[in-house]
Amino acid sequence: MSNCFIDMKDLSLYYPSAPYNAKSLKELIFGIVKRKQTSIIIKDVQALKNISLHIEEGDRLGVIGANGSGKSTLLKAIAGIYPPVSGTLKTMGTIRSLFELSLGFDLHGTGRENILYRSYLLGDTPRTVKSKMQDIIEFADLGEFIDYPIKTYSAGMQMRLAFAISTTVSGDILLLDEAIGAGDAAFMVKVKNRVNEMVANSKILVLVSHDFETVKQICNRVIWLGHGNIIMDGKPNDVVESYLEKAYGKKAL
Amino acid sequence: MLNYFERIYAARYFWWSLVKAELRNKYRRSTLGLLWSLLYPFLVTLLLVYVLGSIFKTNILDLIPFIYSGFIVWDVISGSFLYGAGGIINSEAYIKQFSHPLAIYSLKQTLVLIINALISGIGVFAWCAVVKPQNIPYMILTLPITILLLFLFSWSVTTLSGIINTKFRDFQQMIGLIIQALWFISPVYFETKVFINANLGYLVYYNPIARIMNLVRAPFIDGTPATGTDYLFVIGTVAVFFVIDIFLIKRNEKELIFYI
Repeated sequence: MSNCFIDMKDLSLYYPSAPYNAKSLKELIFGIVKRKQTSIIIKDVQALKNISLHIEEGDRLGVIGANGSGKSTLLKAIAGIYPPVSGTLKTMGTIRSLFELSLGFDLHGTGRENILYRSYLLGDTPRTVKSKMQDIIEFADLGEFIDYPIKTYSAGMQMRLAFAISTTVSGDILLLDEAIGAGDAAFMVKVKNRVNEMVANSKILVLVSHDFETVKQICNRVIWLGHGNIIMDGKPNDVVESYLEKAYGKKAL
Repeated sequence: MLNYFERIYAARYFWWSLVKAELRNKYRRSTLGLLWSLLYPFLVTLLLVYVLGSIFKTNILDLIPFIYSGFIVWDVISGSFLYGAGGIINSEAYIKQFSHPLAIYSLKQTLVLIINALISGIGVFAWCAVVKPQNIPYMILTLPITILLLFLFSWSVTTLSGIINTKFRDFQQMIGLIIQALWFISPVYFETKVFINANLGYLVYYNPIARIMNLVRAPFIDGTPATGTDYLFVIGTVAVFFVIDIFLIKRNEKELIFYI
């Protein structure tokens, strides 16, 4: 029996509409007076529909699909952030995720202080952070700005720091969601190398990406999500080609 | 439930770093910094003592410890309700990245309130050491249990307030009104005898806030521990709030992310 897996059976997840349909007193009164609906009713958004998926140790799973197809939701369901409404989800192994990297900075804190906060958020201890601090600072390559408040950083600098911190945390199951974003060319080379290292060190990878070349290079299996369903599950070249044919009406080069 | 507390303990470095960040940010770029936590309640006490002492024709020296301690404890209680209401909403960025127990965000707020109170309390300790040094042993003996009960009360309230306000955004406004009302019926700045003389003694007897005030005040003002009834009232109140919290967490925690 593998000691690292992700197993989903008939998993469904929706975003409830209740938080967005809450009416203000003004809308309630106007609705009664005018005898008609004064605002648009938002329906529950079915993000994942009866997904059954088994991911074994050694799998490098790519997830592709159009915007809004449920890719990021799938990752967050695996990470335990969004709860499913039905079906089962079992995971075995420590989960480490790289998504929403730009969120969670303390803007008034320095880069060095934020290294501590974000590392602890991701499950590090003071001892492990101390051993990695210098590596993170060198990887982010921010020079003296590491001791400046984050609010003085550009978006690219924040992303470099976030990436530098997040990629030092290892785990059995690695979830990557379009994590490779802003950065200059030299930094992007470092990013690709670091991602390759992380992938090599993880037992399972689930990668959401629109970069099909990266998906084909790194992954041994790809699923195509559409409107919350798995449309296709198979070899990277086959699934990517089918997706591109459907999306653009042409074969991939 | 035990597993839930184990997960809270496992995340201790994270929530403790949030506490330190919040305390640091509160007085960042301020010249006096954390000294304000000591200075502000002391200066407000002097102001209130002068005004209330003149109105009620009370000995000012007797009023100082009463008002000083009332200000500090009321700050924790009202802050737990009001500041607690935004605890989960304001932690959206962290909640969307990692699945920690949501109670760590209310725990963070409670620790910020309690640490501020302890710094402010240095002034109360100093007063006792100078004016009533014979009461210091009572103060030291009862301090750990008093702080523990105040901490548990605050955490139960910040959790309750945070969960309810995330789903029902009118809660924060409503609780603001309730806090205003509670202030008037609690011996925060008005001595107990004021309520008794006005035939409102039951407000002091059945009010858990009055009981919490007694836990803090009795040792250093009267030189005795608080009564057994005071402790039972406070422990009972904390237990009730914790039961409500456990119910709310079990029913709502997973879906709260959709309401943030």
